[in-house]
Amino acid sequence: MTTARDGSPRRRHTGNLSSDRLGALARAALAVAGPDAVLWAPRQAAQRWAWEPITSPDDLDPRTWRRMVNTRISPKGILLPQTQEVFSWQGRTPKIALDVPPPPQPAVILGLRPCDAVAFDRLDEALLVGEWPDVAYARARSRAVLVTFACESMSPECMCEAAGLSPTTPSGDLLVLPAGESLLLEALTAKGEAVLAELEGREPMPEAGSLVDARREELAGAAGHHAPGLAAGQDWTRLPPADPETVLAMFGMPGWEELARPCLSCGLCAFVCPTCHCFALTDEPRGDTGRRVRTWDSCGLTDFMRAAGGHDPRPAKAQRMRQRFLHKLVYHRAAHGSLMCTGCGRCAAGCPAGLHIATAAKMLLAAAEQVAQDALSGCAAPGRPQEDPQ
Amino acid sequence: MAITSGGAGTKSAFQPRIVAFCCNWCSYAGADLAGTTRMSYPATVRIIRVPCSGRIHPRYVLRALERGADGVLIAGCHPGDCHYSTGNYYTRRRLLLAQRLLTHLGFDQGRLWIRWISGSEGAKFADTIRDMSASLQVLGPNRKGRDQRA
Amino acid sequence: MPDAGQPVGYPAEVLRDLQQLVRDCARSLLEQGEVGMVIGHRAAAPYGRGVPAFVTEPGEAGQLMVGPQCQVGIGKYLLDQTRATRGRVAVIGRGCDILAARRLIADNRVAPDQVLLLWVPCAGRAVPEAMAKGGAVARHCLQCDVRLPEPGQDGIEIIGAHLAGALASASLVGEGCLEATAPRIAPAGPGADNAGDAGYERWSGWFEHCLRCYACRATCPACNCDICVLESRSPQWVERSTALPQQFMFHFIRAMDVAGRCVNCGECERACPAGIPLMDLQQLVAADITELFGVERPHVPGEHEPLGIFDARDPDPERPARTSGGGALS
Repeated sequence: MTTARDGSPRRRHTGNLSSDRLGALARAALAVAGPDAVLWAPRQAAQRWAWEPITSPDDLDPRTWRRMVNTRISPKGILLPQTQEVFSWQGRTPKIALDVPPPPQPAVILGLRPCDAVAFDRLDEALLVGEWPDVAYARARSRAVLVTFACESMSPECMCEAAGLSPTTPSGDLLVLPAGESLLLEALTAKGEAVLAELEGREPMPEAGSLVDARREELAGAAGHHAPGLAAGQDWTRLPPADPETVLAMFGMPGWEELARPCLSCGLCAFVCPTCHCFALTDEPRGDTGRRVRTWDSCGLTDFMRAAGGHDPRPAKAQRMRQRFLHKLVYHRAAHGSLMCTGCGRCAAGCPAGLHIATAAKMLLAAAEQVAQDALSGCAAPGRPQEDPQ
Repeated sequence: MAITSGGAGTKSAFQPRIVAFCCNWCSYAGADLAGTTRMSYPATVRIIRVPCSGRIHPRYVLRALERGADGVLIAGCHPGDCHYSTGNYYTRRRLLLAQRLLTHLGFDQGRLWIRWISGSEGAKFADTIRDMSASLQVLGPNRKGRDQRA
Repeated sequence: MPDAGQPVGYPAEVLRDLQQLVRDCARSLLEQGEVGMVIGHRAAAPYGRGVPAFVTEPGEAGQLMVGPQCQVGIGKYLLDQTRATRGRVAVIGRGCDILAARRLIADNRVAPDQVLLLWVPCAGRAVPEAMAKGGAVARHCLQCDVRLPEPGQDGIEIIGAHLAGALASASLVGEGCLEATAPRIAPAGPGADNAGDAGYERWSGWFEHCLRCYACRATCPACNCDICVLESRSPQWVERSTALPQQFMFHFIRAMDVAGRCVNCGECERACPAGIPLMDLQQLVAADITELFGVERPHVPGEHEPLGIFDARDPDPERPARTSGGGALS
C-alpha cells in the first residue's frame, strides 16, 4: 500500500519496461488521454531541446533523450498557451453573437522533469483554486496525461533541491525512473494506473516496487554529481512567508537596486518559467468580427503595471525585480502553501544579463535570518509593527 | 502546409486588391487626373493619401498585406521634385531596403511596387495600376503574412 | 569537469596581463574621480561566466575580468547608468561593447561627455553550451572585424594595445576544443535558402517558436527608444498574439528600424530562448546596405546612419537593378 498524491491510500502499481519500448509507453498514454490526443515530447534541434508535438511515437529515441537535462523553454505552453482565444464575436451591438473556441486536444506530456511536473501542481494552485477557476486551463489540465522522467543528470542551473524537491520527486500521473536498459514505472494517480493497465495489456511488464525504491535512492545520490551552482546549499523553504516582519524586512532590503542593475526588463525569465502565469487581454477587431485573446505577460516588462492615465507603481526595474522574486519565493507560499519556484533553472540559464534567482534568494535568506536573530536576542528593529498589519 | 505563390488565378475569379500610398502633391494628383480624364484602370485599388512618400514606414506595407492586400504601391514624386525637397530620397532608400527584406523573409517578389508619378502623369498612374493588377493576377492572391480573418 | 578558467584562444599569460591592466585602469579612474562608475565584467557561477559588473569603488576594481567567458554585451547599460550616476560612466569592453556604446552616442541617447570608452582586444566569446566541455568560440565571433582595437578614434582609449598582436595570432578555436557552435544556416544571398516559398517556410518555422519575450529588443543597443513601436497600443502595429502574421510583423519592423544601425554584436541571437537565427536577418540587411548604398562597414556607427541620409545617385526602383540578385525592381 502507498499514499496517493491526493492523500488517499492506494495499492502500489509499478512496472518494469524495456527502454526500447518507449513508443509503447507513449501509445498507452495516448490511449488513456483519448482518440484525439496529441503527444508532446522534447526534441533536439541545433543543440537545443524544445517541446514538440510528435506524430509518430516510435520516433522517440530513448538514447538521445536521456542526454537531455531539460528543455530551454518550459512545457507550460502546452496547457497554458502563449496565445489563447477567450471568445470571438460577430456582428455589431445590439445584434452581437459571442462564441467560444472549441476545447483543445488532450495532451500527453512525455518526458517531464519533476521540476516541471510539480510546476503544473503550482499552476493548479494559482489557477484552479477559488471562486473563479481558469476555465481554459482547467479544461486542458483535466484532459492531460503527465509522464514524468526522473533526472539522471543535472546542470549547475538546476535548483530543485533548494526548492525542496529532488530529481526523483513523485509528480505527474506516472513516474518513470530510467535504469540502464529499463524504464521503471510507478503510477501516482488514477490516470497513471490506467496507463499501466494499458501497457500491461500489450507488453511484458513485471512488477518493480523494490527496483523503483532502489533506483530512486541511486538517483538521489547522483544528484550531487554536477558542478555546484549558485543555489548550492540553499534551502528556500526556510523563508517564512507568513511572518509580516520578515516579509517587510525582505521587501525593504537595500540590495534590490544593485541586484537589478544588469536587468534589461525583457520578459524572458517569466516566459521560460514553468509557473509564471500572468497574462494580458487584448481585443483584435476585424471589421464586424473579432476576438479577445489572452497572451503571456511578465511583471518584469516596463509597462506591466502601467495603468490608463499613465500611472505606474513600479517604474523602476528594482521594484519589478523585487516583485518577481518575492512572488516566486514568498507571496505565493503565503497564499497557497508552496514555493512558486520549482528550481528548474531556466531563468538563470536564459537570462541574457546573467541574473540568477539564487543571488536574490541568498539575500532573502540573510534578511530572514537577521530578523530571526534579532527576535532571539530581543532587539527590536526600529518601527517594528506591534500587531499584524491589516 | 506549404504556402505557394505560384499559379495563375482565373481571370474572372480573382481581382487583385491593391493598396496605393500616394503622396498628396504628385502621385495623388496624378491619380486624380487619371480619374478626371476618364482613364480606366482596375477598380480594386484603395488609395491612401499621405503628405509625402517619405511618410511611409515599411510596416504599412506589411500591414496592408496582412489585412488582405495582394499588392502595395508606393507612389511619390520623381526624385528631385519632392514637394518637401528630399522626402522621396529617403523613401527610395528605405523602401528599396524594405523590398529586399521582404524577399529575405520569403515574401513574393512583385508584391511591393515603387513608382514616381507626377501630378501630370495620370496615364502613368493608370498604367501602373493596370500593370500591377495584371502582374498580381499571375502571381495569385497573397497568402504570406496574411491574417486569416481579414 | 574541465577547468572553466581555461581560456579559449587566449594564451594564459596574455589573459592575465590584460585582466590586470583592466583592473588597474578601473581602479585609477575611480580613485582619481575621473568617472563615477566603470562597467565591465565579473566572474559569476556557474563556469565563472562573465556577467555585467558595475564598479563604483576603487576597491571593487579587482573583481573585473576579461576573457571568453564574458558573455553579456555591456555597452547598452550606458543608457540607464548614465542617468543614474553622478559623473561619467566608463565602459571597459570589447569591440562589440564599444560599438554598442557608439551606437547610443550616435543616436543621441547618451552624450559623449557622459561616457569614457576603453577598448580591450578580444579573441572571441565562448559558446555557453560548450563551456562545460572546454569551450569553443561563438561562430559569430569568427566573423568579427573589431576584435582588435583600431587606434585614432575620438573619445576611445585602448587598453592592452601591446597585447593585441599576441591575440591576433592566437587561434580562435583552441586545440582540443569543440568546433565553433552548432551549424547555423549561413547568411544566404538572394535566391538561396531565404528566398521564395522555401524561405517563407523556413522563417515561419522559426517564428512559430518566437515567444515575443522581447529579449532580442532588450539586449539590442540599436533598440534604445523610450517608447517602442512594438508595444504601441494606439495604433497597435503588432498585436500581442503569436499568430504567424504578427510574428512576421514584429521581426520585420524590428529589422527595418535597426537596419543600418545594427552593430553586429549578436546579442539578439544569443539572448533568444527559441534559438531564432536573428543575426541571419540582420546580416542580410547589412549586406544589402553595402551593396545598394556603398556603405563599407554598416555596423560601425558613422556620422550619419545609412537610412538617415541619401545620395541623388542612389539605386532607383524604376531603373534596372545593378545586380541580378534581389528584388530591386518588382
